[in-house]
Amino acid sequence: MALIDLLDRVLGGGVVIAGEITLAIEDVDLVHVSLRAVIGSAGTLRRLADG
Amino acid sequence: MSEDGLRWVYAVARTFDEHAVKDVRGVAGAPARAVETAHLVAVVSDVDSAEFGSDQLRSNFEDLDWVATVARAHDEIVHAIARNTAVIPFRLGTVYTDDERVREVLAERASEFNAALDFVTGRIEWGVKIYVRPDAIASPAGGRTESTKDGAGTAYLMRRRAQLTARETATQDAAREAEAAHAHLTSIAAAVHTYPAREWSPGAQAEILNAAYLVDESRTEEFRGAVAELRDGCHAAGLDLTGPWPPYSFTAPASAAAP
Repeated sequence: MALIDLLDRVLGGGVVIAGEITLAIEDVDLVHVSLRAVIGSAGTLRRLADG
Repeated sequence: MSEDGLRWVYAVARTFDEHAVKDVRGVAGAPARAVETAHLVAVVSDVDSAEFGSDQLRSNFEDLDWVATVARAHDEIVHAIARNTAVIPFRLGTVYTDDERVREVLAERASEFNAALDFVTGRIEWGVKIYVRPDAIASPAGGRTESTKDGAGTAYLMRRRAQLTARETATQDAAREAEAAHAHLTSIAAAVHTYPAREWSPGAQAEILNAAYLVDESRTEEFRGAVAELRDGCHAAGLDLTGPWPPYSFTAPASAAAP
């Protein structure tokens, strides 16, 4: 399973309800955007596949 | 059950079968268990505030390796539950202080959870990504014969123009094929959600569409067959199928903004 497809779903999808310690919606959206940019690099993909 | 611990939430369902998650390691290696109300259960793990408390959670989310590990564990549990019953998966990062608070949320949002569960019951999510095929770009349809009167510079420019034209043509063809494929798959699905297509970067696929389709289980073969046919029929576009997924992309009715 490609990590980027999983992260799209678990960071960009799923129920969002403010919990007591839930990350703020904007924070997770930002994480999602920056992770998508990072994951795009072939080096990262290789490293994560090996790790 | 530690009084100092926190509760990581994976999903909400109508029932919980502990055998489904018996041997599955969840987030931070913790096992999954249920927090139950009359008609709904939340599937949770007990996690440590040192790793999952507010500040720590925020900084851990800046670590790709940490997020990747947690994402996989979260998905393992969700997948395991989803084999036997309809689930509404939670996004990563929903943590509560104790079981009582989890029960309160189930009670407060019972009708939304029930509506969301009704919507996904008997349905499966599939992912389809459509991109411009590299081989469609790389093979410009034969250049014109170079005139021996042209200098090397002119010949280069003519070759370059042919390459760019081929790339543009392939991209336009792929976009048209993608639109037709998406329309066809949408007609089979009960619901569709599109994610942002990945930004182009050197060496990466030129992605046109990244979509999730929620398909009735009874139409699984029809959907998969359609993807295979479309893939064969496309000349410039490539199609990648992922799934089956739990319905991450179709939980919006259950979500709520912070009060």
